[in-house]
Amino acid sequence: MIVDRKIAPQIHDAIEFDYILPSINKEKLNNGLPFYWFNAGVQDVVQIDWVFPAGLWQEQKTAVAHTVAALLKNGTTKYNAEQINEALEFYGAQLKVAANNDYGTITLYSLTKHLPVLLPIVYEIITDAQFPEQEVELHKKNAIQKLLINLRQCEFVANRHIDALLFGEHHPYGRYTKKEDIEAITRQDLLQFYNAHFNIANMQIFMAGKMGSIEVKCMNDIFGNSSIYQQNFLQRNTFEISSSNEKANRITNDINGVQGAVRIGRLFPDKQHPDFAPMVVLNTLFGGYFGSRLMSNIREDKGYTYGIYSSLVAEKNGGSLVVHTETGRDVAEKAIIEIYKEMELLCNEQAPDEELLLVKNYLLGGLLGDLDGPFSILRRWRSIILNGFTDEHFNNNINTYKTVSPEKLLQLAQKYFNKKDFFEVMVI
Amino acid sequence: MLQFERFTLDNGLKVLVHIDETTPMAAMNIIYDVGARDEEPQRTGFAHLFEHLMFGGSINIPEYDEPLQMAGGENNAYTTNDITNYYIQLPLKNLETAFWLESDRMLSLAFSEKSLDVQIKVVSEEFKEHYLNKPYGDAWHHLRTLAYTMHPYQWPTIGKDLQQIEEAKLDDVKAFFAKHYNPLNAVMCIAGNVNVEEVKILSEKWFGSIPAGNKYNRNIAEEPQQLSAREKTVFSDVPFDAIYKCWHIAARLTPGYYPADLLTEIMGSGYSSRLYQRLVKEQQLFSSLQAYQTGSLEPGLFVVEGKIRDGISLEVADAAIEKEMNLLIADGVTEQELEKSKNKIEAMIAFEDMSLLSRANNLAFYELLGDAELINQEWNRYKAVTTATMQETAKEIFRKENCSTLFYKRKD
Repeated sequence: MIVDRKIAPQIHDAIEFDYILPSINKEKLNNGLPFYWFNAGVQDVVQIDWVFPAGLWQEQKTAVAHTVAALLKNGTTKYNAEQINEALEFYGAQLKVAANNDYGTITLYSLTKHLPVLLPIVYEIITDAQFPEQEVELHKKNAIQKLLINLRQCEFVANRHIDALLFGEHHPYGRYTKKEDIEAITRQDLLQFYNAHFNIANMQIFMAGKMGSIEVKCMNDIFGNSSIYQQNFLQRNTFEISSSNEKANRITNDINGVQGAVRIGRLFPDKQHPDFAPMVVLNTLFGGYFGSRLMSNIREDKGYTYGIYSSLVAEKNGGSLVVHTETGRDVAEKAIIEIYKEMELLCNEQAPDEELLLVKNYLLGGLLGDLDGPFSILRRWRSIILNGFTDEHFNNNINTYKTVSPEKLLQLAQKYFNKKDFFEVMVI
Repeated sequence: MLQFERFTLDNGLKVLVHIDETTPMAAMNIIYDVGARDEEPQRTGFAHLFEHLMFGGSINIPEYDEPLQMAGGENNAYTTNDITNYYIQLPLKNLETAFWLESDRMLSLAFSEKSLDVQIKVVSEEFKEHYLNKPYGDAWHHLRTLAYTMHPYQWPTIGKDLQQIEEAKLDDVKAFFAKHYNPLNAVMCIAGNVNVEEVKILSEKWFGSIPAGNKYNRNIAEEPQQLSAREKTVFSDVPFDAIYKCWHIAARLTPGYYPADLLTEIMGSGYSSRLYQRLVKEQQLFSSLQAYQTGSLEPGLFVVEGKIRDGISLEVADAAIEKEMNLLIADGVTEQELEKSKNKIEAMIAFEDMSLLSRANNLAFYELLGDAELINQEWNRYKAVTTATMQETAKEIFRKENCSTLFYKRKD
């Protein structure tokens, strides 16, 4: 059989497919705590997230949220850190505690069959963390060493600076941790934050994987029977964004550095804003995938970098659009010029239909894969629920991705790709 | 258990089919039997540079990525010391696009000067980003040359230095393609809601007419047994001293590999591991510490690496690691430790198998090693390990003369 290799096989456009977000069970445990779960997947595994309003937004003192997350499982009244880690790791489970800008999240990855022994340990950690003095002191020393190593890396330094320029150094999204902040942390700070923000009254549980009524009952038995007290002193912090007056920043972090870390960013509305969904499409075209304008020009045509991406970051109280790349030291300024050129081009010319169709097909084809795995579906649901949306929001977004026009993208570019709104950092 | 069927085309291309009826996606994974170990010592980094050039257009298709993205697909590739792997995930309905693209670049590349020039720059930036412009970034360059005196595992996939990459010529690229990129040196796996017949038809249609080429016969000198302990000290602009120790272990699929892998779990993977608990938490000699093994096909390395706490001497830190290894030799591991390390492997396998791509990749990989069915025996091989085997393996590995130590010191 002779095939004509110059002719591509017929494709089905991903924009024509149906996208259905599998539904999630929205239950309440016996004590009224929200528990969201669904059964999916073939392997005998689950992911569970316990989410608390315990992010950087809630902290009174810099670095406390991260430190609480790092030390949450390092000791309760009954067990020390070693015993807790041994109990979890013995069953091949992973328990991760992380603080981001808005939330503190405890995530368990485990074989489903081990949940009956693992859930009581997690309950214990959540309700009875003790932050033993010697654990706090050791953690501080090691965290400082880690910070000092990170500070030698231009990308780490650049990430700190762009956030500070965008949000201001006193805003939780722009604040960054210094050595002195870690040194100043006391056990008292940690206990105070923990008591205020890891109160199970404010906890939401998300779970997915191969599971059913047995696992639901298990969750209820362990987390559904403790009484919950809503504390009155839960503070609702408010912060004003105050961007820097300085728009461009050049920093020499390492005089012998062979690369420059470039970050060019602007503030961008959160997911509630009607521009967010169509902007996902424009951002993908601009710098969100391997075939993007930025990648095609700055990596594939000029070879200035190993990679360049643009990201839309949505937090609860605001967000940003940031271009990031590490380039050769001697071509960093040229790369910056090219980044602005690509923005300008998007403001001056409509994207060709063919390119826009490709971006939509790429975006939706990836989504089809995402809707196939229990953990990626869980991630989507978690975001929908924490933002106060419903699956209607998901369906609207799909519709936007399928139908957004080149005219609309041109308008968006003219609104959001003005050089004057951007801040830039280059760190060598 | 991963189910699969397989067939071989007349030109020698091995094809595996893994059926998963639950997913709307399909995966195509192609492994070429070439890695950094197959490079000439004066042309290191070439297999990886070549992998980049595989995306620079093929004989009949000027752009690789665009048609795939148009079909809703995503792809990538990686090179290791042993193999080069290319993979695609896309909606099942567009699976034929993957066949079209992959078969054309197996047939022949476009071999453009422009693509070579640009990718040399891109790979140079990759080299800088990951190995030169990071504290401790070149540690593995040093460690490999210390541990391997003969075997090509002595250089990393990125290459020994920037200069060798910059010197690559289009003729080298053509010769490399001719030597390694053909049906006889490849294994393909298709995964998704497919049936074997349709995969056969598509494989014949797109890959069947590609000339078989020559089978590449690997002829690599074995690394001679290490007869005395080796040490190297480097000074660099880093904030803290670090230590990297490695010992030679058994090759993949040989009996000694499984206990060695389990030993890394017990010694230095996780917060409850011995080295972390004793040297980071109790004795507070390190700020971070891990043990792992390189997982290579030919005899690899058991590695312990750690950043030393400020104020602690390298000698004290080194002696503390040695002491733990000696305790392991003397007393072995407990039943509880062994069971824990097996539980971790069991969970790891289940999590890996969640991903369609990972299943396709694993099947192709084990077929390359000789038989895809081997993957379904892996868990039993781990399960069969006893505390006695663990201790024997530890005695074999952690001999003083089998050890290489890199002291990575802060320049004052």
